[in-house]
Amino acid sequence: MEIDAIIGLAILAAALGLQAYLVFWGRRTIERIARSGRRSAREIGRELRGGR
Amino acid sequence: MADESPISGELSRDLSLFHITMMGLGMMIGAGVFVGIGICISGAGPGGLLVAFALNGLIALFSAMSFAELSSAIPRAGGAYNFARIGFGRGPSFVAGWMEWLASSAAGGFYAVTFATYTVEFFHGLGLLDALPAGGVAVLQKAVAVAAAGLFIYINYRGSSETGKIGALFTVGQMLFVLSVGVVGVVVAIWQPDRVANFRPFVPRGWWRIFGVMGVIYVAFEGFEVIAQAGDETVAPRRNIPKAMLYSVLIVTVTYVAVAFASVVAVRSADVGGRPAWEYIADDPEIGFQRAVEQLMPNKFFGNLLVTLAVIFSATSALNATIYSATRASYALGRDGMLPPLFARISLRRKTPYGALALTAVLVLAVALALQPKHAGATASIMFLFLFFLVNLCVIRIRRNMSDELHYGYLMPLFPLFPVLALGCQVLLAGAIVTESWIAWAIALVWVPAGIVTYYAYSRKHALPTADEIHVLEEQRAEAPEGYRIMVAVANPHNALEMVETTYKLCGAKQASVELLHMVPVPEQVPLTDAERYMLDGKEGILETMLYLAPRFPLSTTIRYCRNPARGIISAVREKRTDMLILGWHGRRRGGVFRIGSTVDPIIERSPCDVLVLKDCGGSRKFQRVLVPVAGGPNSAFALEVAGILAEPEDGKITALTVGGRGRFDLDAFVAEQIERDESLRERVVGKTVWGRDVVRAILNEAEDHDLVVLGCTSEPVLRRMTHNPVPEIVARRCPKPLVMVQAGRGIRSWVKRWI
Repeated sequence: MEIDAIIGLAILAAALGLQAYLVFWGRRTIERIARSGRRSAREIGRELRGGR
Repeated sequence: MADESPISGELSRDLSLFHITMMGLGMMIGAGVFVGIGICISGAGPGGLLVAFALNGLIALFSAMSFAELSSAIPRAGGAYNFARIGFGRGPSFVAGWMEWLASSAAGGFYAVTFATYTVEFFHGLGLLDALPAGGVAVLQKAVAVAAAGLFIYINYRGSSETGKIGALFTVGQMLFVLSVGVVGVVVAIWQPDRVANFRPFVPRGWWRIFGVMGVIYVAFEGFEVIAQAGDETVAPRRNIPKAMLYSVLIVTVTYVAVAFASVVAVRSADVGGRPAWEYIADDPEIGFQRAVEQLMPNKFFGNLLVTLAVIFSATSALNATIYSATRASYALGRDGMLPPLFARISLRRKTPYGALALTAVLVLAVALALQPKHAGATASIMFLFLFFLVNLCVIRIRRNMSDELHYGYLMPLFPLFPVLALGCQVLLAGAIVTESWIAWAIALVWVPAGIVTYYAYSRKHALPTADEIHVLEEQRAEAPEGYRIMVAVANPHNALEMVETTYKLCGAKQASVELLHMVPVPEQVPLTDAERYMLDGKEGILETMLYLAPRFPLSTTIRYCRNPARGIISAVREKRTDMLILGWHGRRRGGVFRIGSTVDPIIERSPCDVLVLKDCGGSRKFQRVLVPVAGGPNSAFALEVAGILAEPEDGKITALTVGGRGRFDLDAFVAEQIERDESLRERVVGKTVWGRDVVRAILNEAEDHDLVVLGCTSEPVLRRMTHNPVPEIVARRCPKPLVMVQAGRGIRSWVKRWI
């Protein structure tokens, strides 16, 4: 397989994989925020970092 | 509405996560992918095509995350224009609105040109245009593009557009087509692995060319932006808007990559004279997708027809959406005094902003007439890149300055990494577009400075102060009163009083509270939040009736602004936890496809509560002989209960009628069971069986001796109802006597049934 194809497939897999991860992470975050009732970015950030 | 007014105003939130996701997908799967595949493969080669779509999806997702965060914190209509106003003030917000106006108009022109290219090419391929002189096909394409754009401008002026559900169905159809092409491509590649050799060489023109084509086809990824415009109309916007944006970008990227893969493997070198497949597709980039798919189909004509139909549906749907999006953007600038008042003028008759629409039409037609698809797409792309650049700056600024004041429903991770990455990528793509379309850059270099000059010359002096620029329209949830609740939806001032009087007969029995509701449909081109300013013109009759009724009856009166009355009423029923909904019906059927009417049909089908449809019931009338055709279903029992309430309490008699010869329904047992449940029916109900094949005629004959007919809606399966008219609806239309149709609330029904 030519080197361009290997690079291209790696970019393709990384782009789709990162996209899927960010979307499902986002979905989980939205549900967590809705459940927790936290409102401001500071409160939510603290909540997402596990209270730290 | 003033606080002291007895009529309260509300906005209807009736778009679900599904609706707004489909709205975004419908905008994205417009024509961008169909034209984009050819343009992309000609610039970047077969492998570059896949990489360009995947990377564009990722870059679009970075911006979508910024939109999602801002929309979750400021869930109101306005999108980028609104965010820029809150983040940076008037000047940048004007530039945002100005760029959005051209971006959407150019996208509209692009879709019109794409529609024309594919339509004309289809007939050209059949040999029907061979008689045209040289250059005639190109002229015809322009004429068709202008005609298509003109038609949708007129449709927008009329104020009619796809409702959320029909639009969603169109989008599902487009998605299924595009996905099926992708699936067929993957299956073909598995079946004949030698076709994967079409990806060799992977990037024949070098990696750098990828960025240029990515810039040109970026327009195919911008549709998530319209979801932000639906902030005022979405149920639970802080949760649903960010989700819909993220989902739509992911779905569209996976779909595009699949269909791009299928396009490359569709062509066999041997079938195209031994040339590389990608060169064959790139020969005519604008219809490259069609050339690829026709190779995938066993029959070329069928393949061409399928692609042409898919493009026609996608492009027209996206054309309609972009025209109203552009109109709304320029209308907002006019409303806020930043463009001349002409932009904010609303047609008294159509309720649409005709000034903004006319000037949008000029832009759309100019793009359709003057630019080739590639340049039209590149112009839309570059304006959207600039617009999203501004939004990525906004998200950083708003998070830094106002994060404690706003209530977020979504926060992006690793802030500010992704907005910064998006900014960098947008600069790269915008810069790279010049290698593919210098025309797009030339237009941008005229348009953006023209906007800045307009702002300093006009807008700064005339802009109206907006005292509460960060005002967020919270979801309105009425405090549900205790006890049984009846909602009366009135559309016509002439029967409102009758409906209220009839309602009070039911109230006495149910000890209920009553809400009088009037739905005001608002065209898509006007934000719901602006509806109160313009939409009550011509509604004086119903307003006066509501004002007359409010002090005379213990009821609350509400005007609710919506896009679609049926969806608006159902959403009000759900929000206010209504137990019974009462509608009026004039007795005529509107349009052959509806059993009763375009508003009543979907309400009967989907309402979670009991529904009564009154026809000519005259509130003060006394009903001494009431006919209730029964067949044993839940609606028959409910019809008998309602008849018991409406019939005169002293001397009213009820006839429970069944038409024999159609099954073995035990009328006596049914009546006995109902009397056991409701003692007030004893001595008042008599069962009667008549014999005959024609059930409708038998019921109508019997109705002649009665002064009210109460009948249950059909409970036949949905698919059966689609093939023939059910008996109750035919009786309802033909019966000359006062009539009440009833539908017992069925709670949560199956998803499939509701969606069919």
